[in-house]
Amino acid sequence: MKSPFLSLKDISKRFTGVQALDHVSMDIGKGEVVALIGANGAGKSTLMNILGGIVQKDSGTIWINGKQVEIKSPIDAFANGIAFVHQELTSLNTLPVVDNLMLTSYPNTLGIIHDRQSQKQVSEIFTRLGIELNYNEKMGNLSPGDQQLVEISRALLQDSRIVIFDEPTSSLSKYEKDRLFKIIDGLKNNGVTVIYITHLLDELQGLCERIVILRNGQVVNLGNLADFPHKRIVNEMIGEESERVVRQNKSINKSEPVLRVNNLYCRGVLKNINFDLYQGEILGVWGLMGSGRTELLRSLVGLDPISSGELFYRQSGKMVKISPLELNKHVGFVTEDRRNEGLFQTMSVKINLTIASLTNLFGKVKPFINSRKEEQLTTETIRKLQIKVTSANQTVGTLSGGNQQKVVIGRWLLRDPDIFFLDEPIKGIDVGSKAEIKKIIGLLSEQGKSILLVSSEIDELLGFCDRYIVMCRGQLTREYMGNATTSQLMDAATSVRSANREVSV
Amino acid sequence: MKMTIPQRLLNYAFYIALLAILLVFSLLTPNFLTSQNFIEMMHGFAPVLIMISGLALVVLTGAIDFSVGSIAFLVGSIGTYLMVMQEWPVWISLIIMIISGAIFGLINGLIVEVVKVNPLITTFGTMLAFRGMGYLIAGAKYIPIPRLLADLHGVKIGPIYVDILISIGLVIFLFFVQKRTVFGRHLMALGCNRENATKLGVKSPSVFIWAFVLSGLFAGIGSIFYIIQGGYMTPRMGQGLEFTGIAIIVIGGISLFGGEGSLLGLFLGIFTVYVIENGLQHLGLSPYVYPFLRGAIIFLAMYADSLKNRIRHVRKIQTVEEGGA
Repeated sequence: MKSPFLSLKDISKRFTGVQALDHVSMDIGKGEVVALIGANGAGKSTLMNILGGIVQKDSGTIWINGKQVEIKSPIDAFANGIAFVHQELTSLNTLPVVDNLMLTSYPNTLGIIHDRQSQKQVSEIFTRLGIELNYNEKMGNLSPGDQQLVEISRALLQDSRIVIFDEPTSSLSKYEKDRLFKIIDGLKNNGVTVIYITHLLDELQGLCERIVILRNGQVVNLGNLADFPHKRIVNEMIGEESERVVRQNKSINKSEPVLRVNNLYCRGVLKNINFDLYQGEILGVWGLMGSGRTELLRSLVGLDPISSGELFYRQSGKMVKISPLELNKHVGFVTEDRRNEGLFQTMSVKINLTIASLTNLFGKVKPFINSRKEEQLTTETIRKLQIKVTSANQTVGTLSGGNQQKVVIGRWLLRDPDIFFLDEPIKGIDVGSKAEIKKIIGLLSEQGKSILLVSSEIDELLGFCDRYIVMCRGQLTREYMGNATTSQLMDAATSVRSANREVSV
Repeated sequence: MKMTIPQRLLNYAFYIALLAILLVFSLLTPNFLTSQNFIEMMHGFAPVLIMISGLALVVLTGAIDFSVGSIAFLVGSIGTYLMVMQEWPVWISLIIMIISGAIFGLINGLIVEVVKVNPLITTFGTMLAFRGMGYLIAGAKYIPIPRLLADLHGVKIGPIYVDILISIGLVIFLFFVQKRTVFGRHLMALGCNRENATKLGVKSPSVFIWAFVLSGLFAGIGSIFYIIQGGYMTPRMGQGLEFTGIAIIVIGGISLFGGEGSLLGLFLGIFTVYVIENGLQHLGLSPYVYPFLRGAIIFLAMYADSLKNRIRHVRKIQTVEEGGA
């Protein structure tokens, strides 16, 4: 290894009741790309937040280039040449790109900004990184991928020596990902040290030389990527042999569906959708980005208006016509965007769990809630779903992604609907939690719940669903049974796409 | 970026409405559309424009300052107390007035940022407290100010009152602060998204405190022009300013959600509010109609503000879909 440029020594950090980091030490060389890997809640983000000055460490020392440094604020971090590309974009949407970039580094005299000069600096960095963006455009008008490029440009504006990327690819398209990796390569060649946080193990190859694996706030292993095959990394991350969830495709009673969708149209988004959903079935909905998967779920429960079409729902043995808003009452909808749409981040786990089923919790006097009942149901759900919390009163915002997802699912469990719509339930959560969530989904179907499962991670879906429907450009194009292969599904999503184009030309 | 028709209409809604209002008043009354009337009107609102120009900075950060009217009143009370009751030299009193305005703003800022009380609650509290202090100092009386000052009330350059020019100058100065200084940009960044701005290294507490200081400072300066113009310190000075002021600011296109708008919008806002009142006076309508109309205008302005946000939101969803397809 090259001589260490950045050294972390015995870093510890405690949050209320939880040891987030426990004497973490590592050395990173100049111009090295190191991947920081760990399950959610392993302490990756906390460690990097300490380095970025967002969180203060309890003990330990940080050394850069042989000198001990104190990082007490993001400004200290900048001053030490540390740049942080956050997982969540730190965009200021109402301001132009140029202000988003230069906010803390405007060239100025006595506080009066030299606009021409700062624009020049921005266009220089854009040229250097090969980015084509208009610096006067409002940030909010850019795509997430472009916004991230602005973040990266900002990180590199101040001649950073250390750049931290916190799960940068979670919202990027394939093209944007490749563009990002090219930029990281360029950084490395310029002698910049890169720390790359991820749990998408497929990305590591060709990107970094070394990996550091964290688990429960401790470094469990580190070394050259070449020595760590995929399976070993996964094992180190979750600390045990990873459980692969393969479901036995059980026979589904297909005499009568629970939900029937007939000729559903949604102007500009969905065209002529027909399908049945049976009891106890996990129906995978697959399609490329923009194929209308999310829109399908949303329009079925009345969140987006439908133009025409009919829905039938089985009530006491008969198929009854039902409006989307009516259907909404029978569906547990786990949205893709759990942070903004699904959960009340500042409220407790308990409140988040019971909010959708408060009418079941009335005591003897009607509009008042029986708190013992509430307590009991909450504890039960937490235990059943193995949500990791210190207490039911812990704030949801402090949970890891996987545990937040469990809270969302738990909320609907309490409502006990017949049908679940799950939109990307395993996106952005770590391997261990993924397995657990899938186990929960399997359990639901065994209890006779019908599940419409949308996922963009095709490998995760395979071998798990009972049946697949494939969407393309707002249409259902093909249906496969549970034994479908990746290539079949991919084919269906893309070949029809070209066929479709022929028709439209 | 293509704009949809409703968006265009919204962007120009107030200009269109204002033109229509001007037209109606000009047709119905003989003296409304005269330069004399407009100059008198601007002379009338110059002190108010100054008082609320600092408040606009606070609104840009997404916070609010309800105490501007009370700060103006308290500063006026202190000034007349020193000049009239203690017979201090006028110029020293004026300097003390300006400084005390800034200090009261600082108190607001410190309560909000150091004690960490919500700005709305803080300034509601200080709104009451400052007014009470004013009554304690000068009593709820009409106090005539020294001749030396009162004589300044009609000073003109050509046909235009000096206080009109000063009020315009001060707003343009603050516009420059907003647009061209690091402080101004940080103000906008905080208004846009405080959490992100802080992550990016904006020192949010000090920016907030400065915004409140400026708000108090300009309320105090406005107070000076107010008593000069009237020749009296009045017990009702600045009452209701917190709401009229915010209405003017929002009509001027500064979003209550923060981070959007320009100080120059104040001109449009104050003009709209006062043109309507002035026109109604010319029509000879009952003065009791004004509060009702003011309320209606405030409501319409807020509605348009939230509508703009909604349209923007919808458009964003559309672009995402187009990008994805």
